[in-house]
Amino acid sequence: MQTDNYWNRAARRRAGRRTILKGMGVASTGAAALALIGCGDDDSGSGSTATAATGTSAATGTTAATQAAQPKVGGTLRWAWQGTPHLDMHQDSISGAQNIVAAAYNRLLRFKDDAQLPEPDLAKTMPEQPDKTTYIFKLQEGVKFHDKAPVNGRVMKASDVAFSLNRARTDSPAFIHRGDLINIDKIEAVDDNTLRITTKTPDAIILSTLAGYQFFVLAEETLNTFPDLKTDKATIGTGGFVVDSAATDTGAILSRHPNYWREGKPYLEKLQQIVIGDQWSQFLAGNLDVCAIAAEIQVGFKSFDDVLADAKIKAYTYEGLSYGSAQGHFMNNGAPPFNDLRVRQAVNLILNRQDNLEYGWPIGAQPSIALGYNQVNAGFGLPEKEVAALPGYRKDKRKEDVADGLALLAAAGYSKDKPLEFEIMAWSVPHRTIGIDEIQLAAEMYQRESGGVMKVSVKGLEWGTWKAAEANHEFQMISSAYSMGVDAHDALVKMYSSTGGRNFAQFKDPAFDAKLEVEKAEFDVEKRKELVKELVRYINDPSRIANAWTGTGPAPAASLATIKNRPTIMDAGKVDQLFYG
Amino acid sequence: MANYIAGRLLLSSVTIFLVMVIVFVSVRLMPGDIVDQFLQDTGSQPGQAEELRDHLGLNDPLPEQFVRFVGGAVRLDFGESLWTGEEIRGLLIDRMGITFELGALALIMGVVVGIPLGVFSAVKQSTPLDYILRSIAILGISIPYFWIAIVTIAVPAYYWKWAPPIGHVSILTDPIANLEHYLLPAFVLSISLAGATMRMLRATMLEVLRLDFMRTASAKGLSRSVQIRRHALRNALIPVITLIGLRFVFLLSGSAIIEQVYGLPGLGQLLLSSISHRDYQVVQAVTLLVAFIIVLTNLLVDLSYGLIDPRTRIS
Repeated sequence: MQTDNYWNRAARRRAGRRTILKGMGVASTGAAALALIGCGDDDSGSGSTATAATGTSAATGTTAATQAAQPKVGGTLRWAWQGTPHLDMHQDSISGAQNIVAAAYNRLLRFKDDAQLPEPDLAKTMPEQPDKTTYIFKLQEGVKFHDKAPVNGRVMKASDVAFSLNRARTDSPAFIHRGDLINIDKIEAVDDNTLRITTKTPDAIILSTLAGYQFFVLAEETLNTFPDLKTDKATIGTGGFVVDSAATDTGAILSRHPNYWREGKPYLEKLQQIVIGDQWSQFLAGNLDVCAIAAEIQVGFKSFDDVLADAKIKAYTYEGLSYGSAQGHFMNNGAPPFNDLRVRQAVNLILNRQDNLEYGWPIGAQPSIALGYNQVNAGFGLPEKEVAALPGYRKDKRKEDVADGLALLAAAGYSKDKPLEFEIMAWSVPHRTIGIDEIQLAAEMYQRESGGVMKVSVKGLEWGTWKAAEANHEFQMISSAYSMGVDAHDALVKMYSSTGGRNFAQFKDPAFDAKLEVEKAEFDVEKRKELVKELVRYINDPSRIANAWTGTGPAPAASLATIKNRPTIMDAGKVDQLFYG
Repeated sequence: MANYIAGRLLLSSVTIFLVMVIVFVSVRLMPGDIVDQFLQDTGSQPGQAEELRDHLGLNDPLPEQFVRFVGGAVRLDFGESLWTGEEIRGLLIDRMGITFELGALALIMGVVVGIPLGVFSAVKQSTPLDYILRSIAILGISIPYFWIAIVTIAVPAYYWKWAPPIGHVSILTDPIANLEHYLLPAFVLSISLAGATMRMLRATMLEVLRLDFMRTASAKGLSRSVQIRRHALRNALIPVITLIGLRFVFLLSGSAIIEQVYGLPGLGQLLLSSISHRDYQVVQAVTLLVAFIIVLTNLLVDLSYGLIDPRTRIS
């Protein structure tokens, strides 16, 4: 995987400080860096006071397969947490709350453990569909809320689910996820155990949407006592864990729900979530049980096991954690110089993806277009072979692609004497996929690969200024990685639909929007996968190039050897099932 | 004295008002607002951002917002955080305790280390020990404290599998654990203060030691230690107290990064995150509080001269 390339040489130039960087990598990137759900997830095992499972002996750095074992209840899992503004996810877009919300509440549906698809949670089965716009959900019986006032452990009813989902779509600006449910016409309790949801138009995505952490189920009387759900006291759900305390800037402690409706679960006795910048150092010191392996820490190693061996700790590694992110160079199609299609095509051809990717994901980088690691590996992305043969991505025809790119630039009037000048923008933190390091090296790469026909400057911005520049399209090119969500449809809607919240390129194509609607209405998952691939091919057509994607990679994590029976990929579904119960 | 204090208080009020104006305007000059961040990862609909701005009062006329801010500040009611919905007054009280504890510990450590070393270095002027102490002091001043902070976490973790405890434990809940959490950050924060105090005190001590009254004290047969403690140190401390007062202000503002590195949820961390989130109300309240503390500290420093040196009392 490691070739002698530009990014590696740059990394070697910094070798003198590598030892320090290993330790402080996560600290320097800051809490928001990876957009992971905090730092760690457990499996069926336990934590620092481990009791769960048999597992293997504490082999150093084993990317192990799940082992058959009889889990035991107990243990406290300590993981790092990025904190959150508050705990009312109906009114919060930031993912920090989801660690707690997902543990304390259930949803109507959740995600399967092996694909980015929904499965029943409080629903007993997947819904009946008498027609393409009606969903009838039969609910689990005997599900009890936490034994906290004012709900006091009563049994959940369909009216609670209806109330919760209707609250999430309250027509008030504070309820910021209401747009996700805009296609829902009606949510009503038919009886105590039956819920009917009617959509305005056929919508195959609505079930994935309902599986999102923000659509949790609460009891109506909670809001008779508390003004909102922002505090730990107001967090009363049916989930596997009861929130003992949660301070949004320091951490949270959760205890096992003794009357949890899934028998025998959760396995953990307690969860401790700790707000901390430098996760890796705390993990090495044994103060955290699970931790992300940031890109800085991976530099110079061929596998995650090598990382752990070098750190001389007994631990296991995971390939992925929660949602995948994808990296790309996003061009403002509405302003010069990227309002010229030839220039965008040239960038797409000249960009050295291999170098760029291996800088961001030193281990396990994977070229892809518009989709994240989990989506690609769940079969929604283009096949690896197809991507590898695309212009701009193909390694064997690199020279031809660069030559074609330069010809396009020449046709657009750019040469060494009159170079294409543009600015790449990113967050000003030192980070290998979203920060200043990456754009400095990207700028150097463009200039080098184009033989000086491109003259690139960099602009690192403070977080709030960066977000404002994104929202207002005040940039020429952004180079960054973004979390792509769970469903591939979400990723494409946000990045490419005419009203997409992350449509930085300002790509507006009614035909594409119409195709998205067709894909959204396809209930057969395999057929939908093909439709998603068609959409990706559509946006990658040279005549429509809006962004230059590089690819994706795993979001690796390590857990101390005390946690056993770990899965190798901790996507959203596995987190739900194995960790939260 | 009463007139002097009244005059200073009036001047301080003007200063605080100017701070309010500057902070109010400057936070709104920063690009972007909290709505950009609230909606960054949602399937937001066209027009939703403006609706949310209306809802949060961000589209109200600026004079109206300013009057709301000043009126609230006078009543010590800063409203609610736009980001978390928490009451800001309670937030400030919680966070202030953490920052003050960190600052006070750092101040004590810096003074306890810096003053004896300064005296020692002056008394042993031009000896090898003096050179060593002065070199250490320069190092302490010149090495960035945030770098030292990161090293104190990263290096022991990598080589010895040890890292300082994470986060904050209240002194009321567990004083020992509280000290464990605060000692290292306070020590790191105090290094620069200790160095500066040592150097300043050494210089002023050398000046005082050469004055006539010190020769008189010696001729009277006072022991060397009494000469140093009662006569030299007391006179040499005046500029050092000014320095310590100013440095305390620096400790409060400098603690922002230390709090971030060691995961201490103090005022500095609150200010940094509020700036990032464009949480105007919190930025205004924290800045106003810090400005108030700075003004008050300067006033107290000025008044303390009189206690140490009767001549300044008369003037």
